[in-house]
This record gives sequence, C-alpha cells and structure tokens, in this order.
Amino acid sequence: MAEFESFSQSMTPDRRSWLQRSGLGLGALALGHLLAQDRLIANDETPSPLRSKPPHFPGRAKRVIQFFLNGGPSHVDTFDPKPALEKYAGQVLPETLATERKTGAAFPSPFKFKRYGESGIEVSDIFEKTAAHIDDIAVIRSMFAAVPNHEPSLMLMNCGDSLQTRPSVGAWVLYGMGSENENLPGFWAMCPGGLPIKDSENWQAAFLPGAYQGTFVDTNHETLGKLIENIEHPHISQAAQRRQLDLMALWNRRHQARVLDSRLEAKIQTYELAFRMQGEAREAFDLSSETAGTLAAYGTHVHGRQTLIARRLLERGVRYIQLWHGAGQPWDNHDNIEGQHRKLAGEIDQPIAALLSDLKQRGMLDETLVIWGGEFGRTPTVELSGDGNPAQGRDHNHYGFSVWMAGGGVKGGTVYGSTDEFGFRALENPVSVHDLHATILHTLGFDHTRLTYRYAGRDFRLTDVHGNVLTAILK
Amino acid sequence: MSGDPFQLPIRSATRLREMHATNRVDRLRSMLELARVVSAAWLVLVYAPFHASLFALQSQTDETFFESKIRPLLHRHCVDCHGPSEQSGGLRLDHRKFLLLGGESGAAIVPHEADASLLIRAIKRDGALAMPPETPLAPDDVVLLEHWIQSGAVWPESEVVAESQIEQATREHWAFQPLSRPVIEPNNETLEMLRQSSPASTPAGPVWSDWTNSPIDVAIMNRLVQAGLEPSPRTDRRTLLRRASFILTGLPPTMEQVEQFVNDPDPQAFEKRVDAYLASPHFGEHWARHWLDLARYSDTKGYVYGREERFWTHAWVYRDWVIAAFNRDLPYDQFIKLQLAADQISSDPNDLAAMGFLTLGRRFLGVKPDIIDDRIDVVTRGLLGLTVGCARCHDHKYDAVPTADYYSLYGVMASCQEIEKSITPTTELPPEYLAELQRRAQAYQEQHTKLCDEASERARQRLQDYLAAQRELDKYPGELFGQLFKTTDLLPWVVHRWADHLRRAEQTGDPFFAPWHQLLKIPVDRFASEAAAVSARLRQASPAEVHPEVATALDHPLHSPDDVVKLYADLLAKKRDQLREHFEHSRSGTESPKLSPDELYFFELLYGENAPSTVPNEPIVEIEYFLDFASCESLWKLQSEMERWTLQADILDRRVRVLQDRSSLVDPQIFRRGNPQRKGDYVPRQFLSLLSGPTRVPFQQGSGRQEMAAAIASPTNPLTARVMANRIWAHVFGQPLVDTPSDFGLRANPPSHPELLDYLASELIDNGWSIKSVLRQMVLSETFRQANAGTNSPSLLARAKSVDPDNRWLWHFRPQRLSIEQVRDTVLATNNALDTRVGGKAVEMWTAPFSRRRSIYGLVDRQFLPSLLRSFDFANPDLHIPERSETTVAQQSLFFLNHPFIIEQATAISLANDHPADGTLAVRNLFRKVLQREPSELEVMEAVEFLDAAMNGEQESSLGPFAQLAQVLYSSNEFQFIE
Repeated sequence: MAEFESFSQSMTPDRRSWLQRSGLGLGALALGHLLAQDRLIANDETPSPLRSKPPHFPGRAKRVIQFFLNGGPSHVDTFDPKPALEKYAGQVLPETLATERKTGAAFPSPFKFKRYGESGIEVSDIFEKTAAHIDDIAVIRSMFAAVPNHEPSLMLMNCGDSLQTRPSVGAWVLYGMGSENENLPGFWAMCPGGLPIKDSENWQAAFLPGAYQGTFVDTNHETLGKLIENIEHPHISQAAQRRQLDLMALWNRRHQARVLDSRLEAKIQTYELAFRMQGEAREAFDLSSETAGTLAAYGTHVHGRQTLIARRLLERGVRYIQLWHGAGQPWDNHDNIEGQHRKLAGEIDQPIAALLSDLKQRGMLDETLVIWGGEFGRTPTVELSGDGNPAQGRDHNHYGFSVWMAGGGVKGGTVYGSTDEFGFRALENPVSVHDLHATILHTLGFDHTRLTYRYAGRDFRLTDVHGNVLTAILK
Repeated sequence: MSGDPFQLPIRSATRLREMHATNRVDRLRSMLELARVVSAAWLVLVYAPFHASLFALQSQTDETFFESKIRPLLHRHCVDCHGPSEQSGGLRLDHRKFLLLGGESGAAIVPHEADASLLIRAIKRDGALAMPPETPLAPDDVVLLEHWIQSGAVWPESEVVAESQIEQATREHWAFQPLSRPVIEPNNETLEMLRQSSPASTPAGPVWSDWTNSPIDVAIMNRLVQAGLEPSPRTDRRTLLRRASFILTGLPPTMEQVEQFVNDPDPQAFEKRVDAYLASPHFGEHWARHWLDLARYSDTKGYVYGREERFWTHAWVYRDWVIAAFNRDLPYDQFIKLQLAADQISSDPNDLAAMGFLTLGRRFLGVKPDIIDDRIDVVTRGLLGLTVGCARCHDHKYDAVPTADYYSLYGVMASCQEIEKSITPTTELPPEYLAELQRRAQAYQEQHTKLCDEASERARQRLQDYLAAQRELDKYPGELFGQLFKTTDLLPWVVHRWADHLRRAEQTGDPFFAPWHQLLKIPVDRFASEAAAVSARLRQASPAEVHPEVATALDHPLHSPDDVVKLYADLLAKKRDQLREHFEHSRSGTESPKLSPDELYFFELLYGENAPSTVPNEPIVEIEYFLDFASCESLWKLQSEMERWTLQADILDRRVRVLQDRSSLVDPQIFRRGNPQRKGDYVPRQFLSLLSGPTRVPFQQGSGRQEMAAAIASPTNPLTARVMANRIWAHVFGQPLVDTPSDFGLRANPPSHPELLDYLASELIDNGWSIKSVLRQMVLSETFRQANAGTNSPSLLARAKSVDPDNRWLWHFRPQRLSIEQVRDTVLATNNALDTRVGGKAVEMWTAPFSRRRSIYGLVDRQFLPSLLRSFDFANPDLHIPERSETTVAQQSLFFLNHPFIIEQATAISLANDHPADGTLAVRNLFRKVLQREPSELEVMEAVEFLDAAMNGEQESSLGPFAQLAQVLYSSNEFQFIE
C-alpha cells in the first residue's frame, strides 16, 4: 500500500480533476495500483538532485541572498572610513602597492562617514539606508584576494579558485542541502540587463551535476516567458496541456509496468513537477499581490523589483540567490568615482534596507544569510590615466577590502578586522576568500572540510585546503 | 657555515676542505673523533665478551653513531618529504640504498666523499638545490652528515627496507598488472548448471547453450551462475534492432527496416544489420560524440579578453577528424598517437587536425600553467585513466605519481608552441578568400616583426634594470597578476627569463656569470667586508672558471651588491653596443660578420633567438607576456582579424591548431605547491615512473611528445587498452565494468568482471586496435540480446531484483536514456527531417529557425552553453567528462512540454499525416513513425479520445490536436529510453 501512496501523491494537486477528465475514474487507480506493485523492489527511487537534505549540523541559516556589486565597490568609500587619506590628500603614500594600473597620491573619499546604530559603526552616506540596519550587520574590513584583476577575482569569490573550473558557492550549497521547494530552481542568479563579466561561470556547477547550476534571470524583462526558459507553452492553454500530461501519464505508467527500470518513476513525477513549476514560477515573479507599502519600500527601480522577487523566492524555499548589480562590471569606477558610486549605491541602498526590514518583519532574517560585497575593493590612491595625470577614480585593490553579512546567525553591530591606516592592505585579522566561504557554509550547517565531491580521483572542497570559520562574527 | 657563499661549483674537494676548515669545525671534528673513540671504548667494555672480531666492533660503533645522530637527523628534517609516504624529487632518504640510488638529480651520496655528495651540497645550499627548503640545517648537523658520509655512510646491514604502502599497493593493483589474454571458460559451477539445464526444462528461458559461444557471454554467465542468477531470454526482434541501431549510430531504424528485420528468415540477419550499422557514416558521428566528451570539446575558447576572437578556427576540423577516424576504424593506438604527435609521425597534413585534442581546451586567460594542466589532465585521465593532475601541487595522495612526474610531462607540453594554420590545398580555396586572408596575415606579420623587435630592443637597452630586478624577484608576480604595462615598464616575464637564464648558468658553471652568483650570495650586511676577499679569489681563477673580462672588471672595489649589478650591466652594454656596431658595419659591406666563440657567446646572450631579452619568434598566443599592453592588444586584434575572416567565410577552409616543438626546449622545474613563482628541482622530460619500470630514461627526441605518445599507445601499457575497452563497454551496456572510467588508480574498485575486461582489452590490441571489431563482438553477444524484463522464473527474477538491483551482473538489459543530442536527432529522424550530411562548420542548434543537422554539428560554446544542455547533463565542455551525470529535473520536462523545437516538430509530423480524415489510421501512422511499432487497440482508442477532447477544446489553443498528440509521444518515456 505504501507504494500506492507514493503514486497517488504524485498526482496532486489536481488528482481528482485528472481522474475526472481522464474519464477513467477508478479504473486508472486500479491500474496504478497494479503497476506500482510490479516495480523494482530495491533502489526504487532515483532521488531528485534537488531533494532537501540535512546539512552536517543544524545551521542558523537556511538560505542565502547575496548582493554582488560586480566591478569592485570601494571599501574606503563605503564601509571602511580612512580619515588618514584626508591628511595625506595629494601626497604619495609611504607605500603604493602594485595593482592593475598605476595609481598616484592619496585620494580621500568624497563621501561623508557617520556613525550609525547603537554599535556606532561608521558608514558612508551613500549607504545611509542600509546603515540604519548596522546593528544587524557584521562588517569584515580585512578581506583580501589574490590578484587585482576582475576575472580571476570573480572566480575566486564565486567558485573558490581563480582559474580552474570549480563549482560556485551556490552550486555547492544546493548540492549539500538541496532545495526546500523542488517546484522551483534552487539557485538563482539575477542581473538586470545581461551577464556580468565571466558570464555564467560565476554560478557554474562545474563537475557537479548540471542541476546545481544557477538559473540566470535578466530582471530587465518583465514577461515570464522571457524571464525563465520554456516556462510556458506558447500555443496551448493549461487545460490542453493537462490533457497531454494525463495521456502521457497513462502511457508512461503502462510502459513502466512492462519495463524494468527504477529511473522511470522519477521521470514520470518530474512532468507533474514541471507542470506545477509553471504555476509556481508565474506566481513568484508576479508582484501584483504585494501591498503598495511593500512595493514603495523596495522602490520602483529594477533593483527594487529584483530584490522583491528574490524575497518572494526565498519565501518559497529557494536556497541561494545572487543579485548582481548589472551587466559587465558597473562598480568598476576607474574614473568619476564620486558620481558613479553615488548613483550605483543609490540604486541598491533602498532595496537592501527594504529587504532587511522585510525579512525581519517576516521573521526570516535570522535564518537568511545576507551577504554584500564585490570581487575586491579599490585603491586608496587615485588612478593615473594614460597621460600620467590623476583621474577621479580608483584602481582595483585585492590587498584589502570589505564584505558584510547580516542575518543567518551573524552577530550584528560587529566590525571584524581592519586594513592599514590608508585602507590599502588587510592588516588585523586578515580574512581570505576561503575563510569567507568556510563561514558561509558554517552558517548553513556545513563543516567546509567535509562537504566534498569526488571528481578526477580527488575529493574536492569549496575551500580546497584552506579556510577558517570566522566564529567571531557569529552568534 | 651553511650556505657558504665562497665556493665555486667546480672546485676540487681538497681546496674545499681547506676553505671551510675553520676553527669551529675543527673543534667539532675532534669532538666527534673523541666521541667515536669513547663510544668504542665503552662498547669494548660492555660488549667485548660477546664480540670476537674487532671488525664487528668497528662497524658496531659506526652503527651507534648512525643510530644516535644520523637517523634521527634524517627523520627529523628529511623523511617527511623523502620517505615512504612522499618521495619529493623522486628521492627517499630512509635507507642507504635509496641514498645511493638517488632521485631526479642523481645519487644523494658518494660514500667517503662528502664533498662530492649531492646531499651535502643541498644542505649547504651550495648550488641549485637548497634543502630543507624552508629552514637550513644547523651547522653542527651539516658537519655530522659530512662526517657520516666521509666515514663510509654506514647503515645497519641487516635492515630490510620496508616497501611503502603505495609501493606495495601499486605492485598488487589489478590495473597495473601486465595485460595477458585470459582464457575464459565456463567454470565448474557453470558447467554443472549447463549439464542440468536443457532447453526443455526452461522452455522460454535463455538457451544456455547459446551462451557458450562468445567469451563475453561465458564471462557474464560465470558471474551470474555464481550469484545464483539467470539472464533474461532474448529480446524481441524489434527491440533488438532498435537497440543496436541506437547504440551504434545514435539513431532509430525506420518502421520499414524494423518490419523487414522482424520477418527476415536469414539466420545471419542480425549480424548483417550490425555490420551495416558499423559501416554507416552515422556510426562515426555517434561514437565521435562519446570521444568529444572526453576531449572537453568546444567550438569556443571560453572567456577571453575583448581583443581576442573567442571562436576556435580549428575545432570543427578536429571534430570531423574524430568522426572520420571512427568511421574508418582507425586503429586506436594510431588514433592516440596522431592526437598527441601527428606533426611528428604523419606526412598527411589532414592528420594534423587530430591535435585539436590537445589544443581546444579553455584559454584560462592565457595563463600557461593552467593551459598545460588542462592538457596533462585530458591526456592522462583520458587515455590512461590516471589522475596525474592530482600531482600538480604535491605527490599524488593515493597513486605512485610524484610531483616530479607531473612536471616531467609539464616540460613536454611547455617545450611546444601552438601554431594555427590551414591544411586546405590553396587550389581548393577561392582566390578572393585567399587574397584577403593573405592581406590580413601580412598586416599581422609586419606588425608582429616590428613590435617584437622593438620590445626586444627595449629590454636590451635596460640591462641594468633587468639585472637589478633579479635581486627582488618577489616584486615581479606571475602570469595571473595582470598589470597594464607601458613601454616604459619592466616586464615581469623578461625579469623571470633572466632569472631562468641565470639559474641555468649557475647550474652549468658558466664562467661569465660565476662571479655574479658568488658575489650576490654574500649576505647584504656582510657584503662590504667580505666582497674584497671573494673578488680576489675570483680574479685568480682560471679563465675556464671566471671569464677574463669579468675578472679584470673585478679590479675595481665593490661596495654593495648594486655594484655587482652595475659591473655586469656595463660589461653587457659594452658587448651589446660592440656587437651592434659589428653588425651594422658588416651590413654595409658584403661579408657576413664573423664572430669569435667569445663574441658568439655574447651574441647568443643578448641577441640570440633564446636570449632573455629577445621576444621569441612565436605567435601572439605564446608571447603576450613579453609585450606591453598596447602592443599585445594590437597584435591580438590583427590576429583576430585573420581568424574572423576564416570563421565568417562561407567556405570550408580546414584549419588546424597544432603543437610543435620549440627551438629551445624547456627543462621543467617543479613548481612547489603548484606555484610557478616557487621553482624547485629540475626534472627531465620523461614518462611516468609508474608505467616505465626501473629502466626509465628521459625522452630523447625534442619535446618528447612523440615518445610520450608511443608509451601511451603501447600494447605493453597496462592501462591504455583496458581503459578504452571499459569505455566502449559502458556505452554499449549503459554501465562500465570499472565504475570510475577515467581513474584506474589505487582507489578504483576492481572491475565487476576482471577477466572480461582483460579479454576485451586483449581483443582490442590483438585485432589491430580495431574499435569496431570489439564493438561488434559486444553487440553480437547474447548478453546484448537479452530482454529487459529479466528471467521468466518468478523466483529467480525476485532474487535478481533483490540481490542485484543495479544490474552489476547483467541479468537483464537495462534501458538507456537518450542523451539530449539523441532526443533531438531522433525527433528529426522520425519526422524524416534529419539532414544526413557528414561534417562541416558548427551550426546554431537551439534557436529558431531550427537546424536539421545532427546534434554533433551543433555549436558547443563553452562560455554560453545553453542552460537547456546543462539541464540535460550535457558533458561540461570545460572538463574531461568520463561519464555524463544522469539527473532528472523539471527543466527537462519543460523542454518536452514547451520548447519551440518540440512544438515545431510535433506540428511538422502532424502535417505530414497521410490520413487526416481517419483518426485511427493517423494514430497508427504516428506510432509507427515515432516508436516504430503498431499501437495497441487500447492505445488507439485512448489516442482518438484525446484527439476528440483536444478538438473540442480547440478554441483554447493554436496547436492542432494531432500535433498535441505527437508531443505526447515525444515526451513519453518509451520514446526517451532505449529498451
């Protein structure tokens, strides 16, 4: 009888209507029963790769949302104030580290820093709305990466290795815990306007099965068919499609009765899953049920909409979402950093703040890990243009930069580590990208040394042979 | 004491001894002497009654010294990296025989000659080796080791060296055993069973007597009988034909072919069909795709900077070569050799296409160590089933693959440059096309010559800066650290080339640079006080030891290391200018310049093809790091102009990208922990020790690529044939005999049927490495012809399902799921819409208007791989993929439900319906086309009922009822699984 149960469950949600419309009624049920009995006894199910799995230990976080400021946001203009730059303004610093391009004298931040919250952590005014939540945020000011170039740094930040083809953090997490909702992809990468630098490598599954790859959505589109591939039939109604599925199910069940193969069951069920996904995705991406207040809180900019859709996906059990700022590398401000950084921050400050409030209000913040950062930071020195004169921007800086996290068991109102007096290099408690990854996995309940996948004769890890959990920023 | 900077590498032992006979050492030596006497005396006292001979006593004393001083020292400082678990540099220091045997750099000790012993040189950090790598030994420890070697390097005679665990496991591991053809016969149990069972006793069951004809079947039967199982009876003829057709050609038979075969009375009918499938051009298309998974095939380079064309010009030519190779049944050994070294072993230019195997991997931003790593991986996992890539950073954890071996292969690859060219006879190409290509090539070449000459000359003009940079190499990071260099910047790559040159000069005892090394070894804080003495000694050295002009220049006092740099920079600048003058002078005359050997030395050093300052005369893909940013951009743009012309042209200019040995070969150095900035020992270019036996010699010819190919494609290589036989088996039966097809190392489980694997591997070799012949045997076996349903005996069937649910013992034929390519091809084929032409440039496959070519001709863009392909577990084109994953996810179903391609084809098949008025006939026709069978009466009824309902709901949709029905059939499991 147990197998009959599983068969009938696979027919939900509209099993009854299926039975009615198929015109077969009890006959079909009896058939299903007979078929189910003849299936293989052992190894009966091919589990869905997305099935929810427990991590190593109960983690505080159940899901992750990551604001990826691609291009490299300047830490000294956002979360790492450096008054010394004022003092040295226009002077060459005692040590100028080699980066991608030549840089010149100290370049003070054009933005004002203020203390926020009870913790009194200083944040630049371009993130003032986010800063209102600073007591929920742990700022890591001592991040460092390997090289001052976008491509390897994006790969390091997203996949844990600068060059080689390795699974992304989201793919690892999905592999480790599956998704709480198999009706939707478990890992999404959203970006308005197209792909960031390095394209889908940023959310690749590499040697993990393709099901763990991030699903890309260009949130500049608003119609469902353009947002998600093959999500609706271009020509026929749902009712007509239901008829197709019913006939298919009937024939597939009959086929299953005559063919010995445990994989057939999963294939059959997946059609029902796909059918439900069409409805569920439509609903998740449809913001019309949100209140005017919520819509206003997130704002009308595409980032507001993107962030709100993300919250709706998180609510529906999606495991990992990356919100990219835009195609290419918007935060790569070699010139006019004042204008550009202000504009870019202005686009996401409000959505980030709205999301933090919203998650908190819904009781989701403590089990949702929110991450903010880019692939590296920027130099405290001014970039020199081709003729050797200063431009009004900063070059890439992998020696020191900031990332912050909130929710998911992170200790808010914390500052961890520091850069040197000018913000060039991580100085106190330097945090590698592997450490960051180890910490992300830890909040989800994984020992990063034990989350492994065997490929090419090796048990691979996200953190390779590195990584220390930053317990100091965790509750 | 240690790291004595005052020694020349070629100094005699006596002079050396004089030199370091300082008081302190003398004291230590006499203490040692005393200790020996005392301990000997003590031994006499204690042991005298038990020892008859003085000789024994003497050796006992030495052993005591060894046990108390030397063994602990070796264990504390050396054996971690040079012992049973790890053999860095191929060297072990845990037994005398290993010290004498030595490692990659030769014997570690010469008993009684401490000064001639490499071990001593290494611990004194005197020369190329400096051990232990991080912290030098204490001076006292150095003296102890010297003393021990000087007095004969005594080691307890009786000690039997323990074989390391890896050594033992390697010796015993099934996959490393020499291949010998097994005799496969029914075992006793099977014979007993055969006696008992007769066709009469199991009327519908398997006819066991059929299972004794092929060794394949006997091997399978033996295991089945052992497990108490019984195979399935033969499958029906329709299923059999479909199965053979799909597995050999990737396509279904037509209904007419099925009907013919079902009614064919010829007992040879199946054999004939199989031979026809093997001879079909579609065979090569289908089996080539299996190979392309292993070869991480892609039509694009992956992420590249904007300046570089992102499409490969040669990928499709390689793909077509693979298809043709399978179709003509190119012997597998030849297939391997051509892919690795066609440039050296074949005179047919068409074979050069084969080398795409090496050259179509990802570009990795141009970072060489990663490009080479990818090539090593595809060669070793792909052809040998060995995970050699694991040894990039440290010795392989499980297999006997030391890091040194990884870098031996690295040296092979690094000694080659990548050349792109056409193999199409110009007579086959339109003149307009050629003329424009010529124009672009010339534009590139002119700019290449100009920019490289300028860059070389810039480097040559800044000798002092480049030499000074040698003292702060850390400031010049490796390839991954991208900086936008101007023409006024020093280029890290030139800095590192000078470093390599100087390292080699030190190794060979180059007399010009000998003082450089001797002087710069003086610690900076002692330079002022010690330089004079060193200079004085150097000035007295023979011309063979120190170049006279340097000796003369040393007359001037040196105050700091900067002075050494200046001295050399000035000398070299003078040489540079003299040589130039010489050349300019002779250019105006008619005579070609005559150079003395000394002038020739400086010519090679400063202007030679392989001089540190000279940008190698190689394509831009090899020299980007030798150029400033603007030059690099400019050359890439011109190069890309050429490539774009050939890519966009609507003609088939077959182009290849080959590896070709460099004029100057690379002596590989180990990158410690895989870091190219941390260079370790030099290693020879040679094959893997694991597969070479004790007689391994370094490769002799050029890069060694051809020798490597020969060593892989050798009938005595225990892995190559086994690995391939296993792969073929996996594609025929849906599961491999060895469940890790690209890892046959120590961690691999043994094959399910060891003797069968060896039989198949032997068959492969003995049939002239013919893949088709092995395949033919497999497909004609009874094992292949089994039904899916299992035995007719209900009790045995129940047993089979419970003891072997995974079908490891092959008690039935497990259905195989169609790959996404097969789905697409089969949809087109059943609709009579498949374009059957073979070969050609890649075509876009998944956007409308949909191509009708076979999927293998579809564009594989590794950077923008359609998510559709990923969701169907298409082989990731970035990695060697031994087996595709097999997942079941909703996105796959969404493809069948909603994808425009499926809808287009469902519509097409409905329009081709010959019986629009007669629903029953139309349904029959559809089943015949799509599934190559008649529908049952019930199915017809259900289908007609569906059509009626769809017709009634017509207003809901713009897709006709019949097309909707066709979509149902395409989505069905019956369509998507080969039974």
